[in-house]
Formats: sequence, structure tokens, C-alpha cells
Amino acid sequence: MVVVGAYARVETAAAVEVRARLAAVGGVSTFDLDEPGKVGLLIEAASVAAAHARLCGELAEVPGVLGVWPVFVGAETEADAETPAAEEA
Amino acid sequence: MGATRRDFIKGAAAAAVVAVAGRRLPAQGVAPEDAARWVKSVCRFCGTGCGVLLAVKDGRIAMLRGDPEHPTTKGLVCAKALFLPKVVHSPDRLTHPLVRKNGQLERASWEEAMELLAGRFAEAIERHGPDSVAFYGSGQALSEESYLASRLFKGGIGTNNVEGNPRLCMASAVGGYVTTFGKDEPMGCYEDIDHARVFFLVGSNAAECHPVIFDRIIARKQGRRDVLVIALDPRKSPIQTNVDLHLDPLPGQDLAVLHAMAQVIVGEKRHDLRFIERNVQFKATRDGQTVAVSFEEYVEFLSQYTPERAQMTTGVKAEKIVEAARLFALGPTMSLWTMGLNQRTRGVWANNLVHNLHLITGQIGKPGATSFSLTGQPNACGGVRDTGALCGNLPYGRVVTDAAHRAEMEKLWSAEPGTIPDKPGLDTMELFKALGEDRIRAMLILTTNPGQSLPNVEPYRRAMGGARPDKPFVAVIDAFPTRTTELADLVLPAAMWSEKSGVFGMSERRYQYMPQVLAPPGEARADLDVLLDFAARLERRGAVKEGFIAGRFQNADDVWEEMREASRGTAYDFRGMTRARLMKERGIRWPAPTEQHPGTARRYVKGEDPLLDEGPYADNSLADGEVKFYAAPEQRAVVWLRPALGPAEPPDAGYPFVLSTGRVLEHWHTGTMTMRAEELRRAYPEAFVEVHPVDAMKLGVRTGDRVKIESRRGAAVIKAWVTERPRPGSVFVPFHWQDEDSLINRVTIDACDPISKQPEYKICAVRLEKV
Repeated sequence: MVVVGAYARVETAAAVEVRARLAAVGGVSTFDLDEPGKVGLLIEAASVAAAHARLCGELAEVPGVLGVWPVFVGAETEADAETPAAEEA
Repeated sequence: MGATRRDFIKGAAAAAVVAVAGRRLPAQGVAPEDAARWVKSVCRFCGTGCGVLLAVKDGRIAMLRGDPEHPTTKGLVCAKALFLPKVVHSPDRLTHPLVRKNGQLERASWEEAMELLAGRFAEAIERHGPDSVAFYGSGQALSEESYLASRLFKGGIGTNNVEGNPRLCMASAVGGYVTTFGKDEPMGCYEDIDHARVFFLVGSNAAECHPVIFDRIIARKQGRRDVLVIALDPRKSPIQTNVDLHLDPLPGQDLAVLHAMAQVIVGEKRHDLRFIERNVQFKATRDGQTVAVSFEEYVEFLSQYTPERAQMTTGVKAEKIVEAARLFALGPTMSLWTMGLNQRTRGVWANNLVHNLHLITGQIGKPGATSFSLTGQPNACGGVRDTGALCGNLPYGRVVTDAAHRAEMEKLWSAEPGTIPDKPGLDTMELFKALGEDRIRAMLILTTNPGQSLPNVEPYRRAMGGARPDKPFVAVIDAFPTRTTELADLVLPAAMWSEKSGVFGMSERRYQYMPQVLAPPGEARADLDVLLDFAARLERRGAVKEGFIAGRFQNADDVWEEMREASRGTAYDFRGMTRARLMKERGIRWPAPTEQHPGTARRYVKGEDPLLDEGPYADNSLADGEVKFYAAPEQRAVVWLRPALGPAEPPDAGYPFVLSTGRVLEHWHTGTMTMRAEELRRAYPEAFVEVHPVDAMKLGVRTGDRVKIESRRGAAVIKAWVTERPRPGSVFVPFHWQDEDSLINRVTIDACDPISKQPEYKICAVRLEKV
């Protein structure tokens, strides 16, 4: 299992709705940050590649998301880190 | 156990997000109260210059976080910075000198290593003259290191063969600023982001390469419908989600787009005639000579670049060009660019044309209106550009071809008159060619990795390391083993970030002090100490005048004092930046001529730039807010009539694709540092090539397939990522990976801009084959 810490910049006017949409993405939990237009994200995935795909694909494409910035990647085991994304699909 | 470890990782991940994105809670992981002390410092990756705080405990950096009191980056840092402590404490560090014996690098003492270094340089100078030796430095070296190296080689040895890797990334920006405004470096600042309504991003993937700056752009845009982002870039990079208008020209055809925007602006009378009349002149090159032309001639010149004509040659729809031009003129407009504009055979001209747009619209010198080149390295500006550590330059805007400038520096340096040659030395690509032809007999490479980063790298790798009789001597000072140290005759282990002290100067002219908080590992030494030792040994051998450096400087503080003095009377004047101020304050932007001056947000603007108040550039006839380009000829910036020429190697039947190279968020340059942080390495463990789905279908390539990318110079074999990011007909490869298959610079072209001598990494012709 891989954990990615990230934050999203979101449309301020729709921040509550956007946060709910982000939280609805599988393996994603959200938390508050100081600025109303920022949402903290924890992404859990089976591999780094899968987490990355979620970050750059599903999350970045959520309506109202202006940008997603990964700031931390951690893997439970070396094997998790090396699992190709294709195998997970 | 699994759940416990996962919880720990989740906690660390949340702490990292909080540290970067802001939440007024103590960071988790290593609690601040556990740290012995927190020290302010600066990140050493890109040119953003993020302020950081370091928790130092038991001789190690326990934690890094963004500095919330930093005036421009305000606590933000990117993923790379967070892992700097891991990089510094990596077990892969070089810890003792290595000397090549019988083809192998073997451990040596510092005494043996330094005697070898000085001996080989002195021998080359004696037998072949001063121009047989060279220094190749870096935008990652500290300012004091680059200044001292340039002083030693130009004023001591008497050669202008002083170069650095900013030649590969920033030289066209330098050429653009110098030819348009008379002196290098941007006039604006990061605060302009908070005032701009139009952002014009040209060849810049700021989302990955300058993420903290891009975050500030998004913050400006957030919730405001009147703030728009225009991108001019063949590739849909990750900035795309925030782009309102994307102009996607065929690679290398953007000059025509920029002219077409200007044509719309003057055609629709959206130019600022009053600003033009007061501050601008027009020039063209005819029969190899620069000639003055009129505004009317400029308008006539632009008539060949209507949006409709530009559409035919560039592929950008005319209506998009018109819309971009109108928005640009509306402003306040801030242009930002990086390598997409610079790493081109027409890089200087492309820079000129961006400046042109600002000058004809008057979108310059006002809050939010500026023409701003972003820097890729932490100290390309303050270290190499400003100190004059390139083959044609001397400190603080002086050039070697100017007798008065040479005389000023010879006097300050106490060098014999006539020591500094009156012609530029060899530029970077010429330098490595000369090394391969054995015309350069000894080269010192500091804090950079040309064995991976030079374009068309293979012949230059042979130049550095190819076995041959009487091979030239190559010495490398670095913190890690690299694709360059493997070629060297001598490898010296360097102290790195936080293990030495000195100044970084970043994109907005802000100089910041990095303190030493750690002892270097093993026998590693600060680069400045090595240079001082080297100079002393050259003096003892008679290759440099006795006392030229030895005895004058004990440490970086001494060098900084001379640097301040060297800035006196120049357009860079930073005499007010004392060491004590820099240690206390969070950076100061030059000009800052007195210790009381707070630093300058916007150059060339009365009321902000102190050089317009006092000294050789003073003009008290100006009202506050008025602009005067005092460094330019006749104190007027130049709008250039440059023809819209294309790249050196366009695609053809044999090589039908365009290759462009660049970066990803998690890695930096040749990966020497970021690949040492496991989390960053895992994020992108191997290279990839972006292929458009249309091309992928034709080639029968799917994501994950291995693809051979071959040019007239060499080949790489890299996994494909099928994505709509590149244009059809173009592919993109980041250049971070150093394994044999992924060394993409075997493929790139070493054709250079004739003015800036910067290579065209962004465009070369290749063919693709699934393997």
C-alpha cells in the first residue's frame, strides 16, 4: 500500500461541493487547510503508479479542481512501490 | 504491524501537506519542540528561492518546512524540497578524493589530489598557454564560489575560458534582456503575480518546474473571472487545467505567433503610443548591421505576420491569436517563460519578441505588468549571470570586450593591467569540442553533470573520458557520483547544501543567505575551500601572481565583501547587502545601494528603483511611477524586428517526429539528488516518452511498450506513455534518468543560438520504433 499526501486548489465559491467530490474518489480522504480554497488530500493506492494515476487523472479532473500538488509519497513495503499500475487494473 | 506502519505513513503524509500547504498546527513526524534549533535557510533546487526552516538535531537535519515568514514564498515549498534532508544525508555521498590510476578511480588523500590538480593545470598553462585550461561551473554553486573561480581564471590565470551550465538554460534570457534593455535580469518581482490580470506563459511548465510560483498564479486566479491565463506552448503540460486560452504552435514556430499578436495590437490601435515615444526605440538587422528604424517601419514589418498568415505557418487559429493579443494589451499582463523559449536556436529573438509585446503596450514597470524570465537553478542569476562567470562577462554587467570594464576589474582584483583577455573565451559547446580535440588540456568542472546534461552528449562524453594518448585532464568537484565523475581523472568530494555557507540569488533579484548547519560527510570540503587551496598551489607554482588570492580571502564572507565592492556604480549596486543583513533578513532584492535601503521590487521605475534617485543613472525629472530604461542605449529599450525563423532541425521524411525534453515535478535536472530520495525516485522510477494517441495508433504502440527514439546522433529506448499532452507529431521525454537506455541527451541536438550560444534542447527530429 502506498500513501500520497497532496493538496488541491479548488474554486473557492464551490469549495464544499468540490471537497465532497474529492472525498468520493475511491481511496481518497480529505482534511482542512487554512485557506478556504485549499483541501488536504490523503490518497491510498496499491502502488505508486496507481496513486500517481489517481492524482493526475481522477482528482485533477474533478470539476472545480484548479490544481493538485503531491508533496509526500510513502510505501509500506518496497514491493508496493514497484507494483506496476497495469497489474492493479 | 501493517496497520501501524500505514498509520505512521499517513501521519507523515498529512504532516507534509500541512507543512507545505499551510495549517496553523504543529507539524507531525518530528515535533518542533524535539528539534534542538530551527534555522532559516533557502531551498537549493529551482530558481524560485523558497525560504525554508531547518530543524537541526544531533548534527542532522531532522526536518524541513516552508518558512511562513518568507516574504515571497510564504511557507510554501514543493515535494523536492521536503526531501532535501534525505538527499543531504544520503549514504551515496562522495566522502574522499578519487584519483584515476590504471583506468580505475582509487581513493587518494586531499594532498595528493590537490597537488595533482594544481600540477596538471600549471603544466598545461606553462606548455600550452592560459587558454589551454578551463572552468565549467554551475547555477547551483554559491555566488562566492562562482565569483572566486571567475576571478582566478580571468584575472589570475588570464583566460576567459570560464563557463557554466546556465549557458544551457538561461543564456537566451540573458541575451534577450541585454539586447532589449541593455542589462541582464528581470525588472519585475513575484508580487506582480498578485496584481496581474493576464498571465502569458510561454514555453513554461510552471506547474511542475516552478510549482510554488504556479500555485501563486492559481491563488491569484482563484475565484476571479477577470484573471486569465494564456499559454503559448506546443505541449499541453500540467499547467493546462488552469489555462483559459491555449496557443499551440508547431514546435519552433512561435516567433510568428508573437509577431502576429503585435500586428493585431498595432493594427487595432491597442498600443501605447505615449509609452513608446518616451521609452522605446526600434531596431533591425540589415546586411549584418544593426540599424535604427521607425515605428512606422515596424508596423510595415508586422504586416507580413497577420493572424491569418501566422495560422498557415504555425497551426494556431487566427482567432486565438487575435484574442490573445487583445487580452495582452488589456493587462496588467505578466509574461513568464522558461526553457521552451530559451533552449532554442532562436532563443534570444524569441525573448526579444516577448519583450516587444510589453514595450509596445506599455505593459511593463507597473504592478502586475512585467516581462519575467523564470530561472531553473537556484543560483544561475546571482551566481553565474551576475558575477559574470561566463566566457564573455565580468562581474555586474561588465563585459570582457570593454576596455574600461576590464580595467575596473583588474584594478579591483589587483591584477596586472592586460591580464584579462579582450576577447570572449570558448562558450560551453565550443569548450567541450575543444576538449575533445585536445586543445583544452585541463578542465575543472564544479557542481554540474555535463556527462549527462550536454546535448548530443556522446562525443562530449568521449572528450571527457575517452582513453587516448596524452588525454586532457578533467577534474570534477561534486557531492555525488554522476555520469560525469565516472569520466573524470580526479574527483573531489564536495560539501553541499547546508554544509557550507554563502549566497543564492534567484529569479526576482533576491539574494538570500544559506547558513552552514551541518558538517560535511567524511573528508568532503566546501567548494570555496577547494578553490582557495587550488589558487594557493597555482600561486606557488608561478601560474598565478603570488598573493592574488592566497592571503586575501579566508572564507566566503571575505569574498562577499569584495563582491559588494565590485557592484559599486553598476546597475546591480548591492553595497547595502551586508553579510549581517543577509543573515538576519529573508533575502534582499538589488539594487540596494545602502544599508538602509530595503531592496527594490521593480527596477527602472521612479519611486522604487534607488538608482533613479542618486548616482550615474539618477533622473529627478521623472515623476513617481514613470519608467526609465537607464541601462539601455539612449536609455530606451529596443523593439526588435526579428525574422520568424524556425528550428535547426525540423522533422522530415526520415525523422518525422519532433523530440522535446523537459522535467517532471518530482525530479530535478539529471536526478543526481532527487533520485537519492526513495520517495521521489519511486514516484517516477523510470523514464517515459509521451506519445500522442494518433501517433501511437500509427506506430502500434501502447502505454508501457518500449520505444526506440532515434535521431541522426543517437538513440534511447524508453517506455511509452500514450497521452494527449504532446501535439501529434511530437514526443516529450524528461531528462532525469541516467541509465544507458534512458540517456535522452544522446538523441538531442547541439545546434546553438548564434547570439546566446544556447543549445536547442527543445526541438530535434527523431523517428520512433516499437521494440
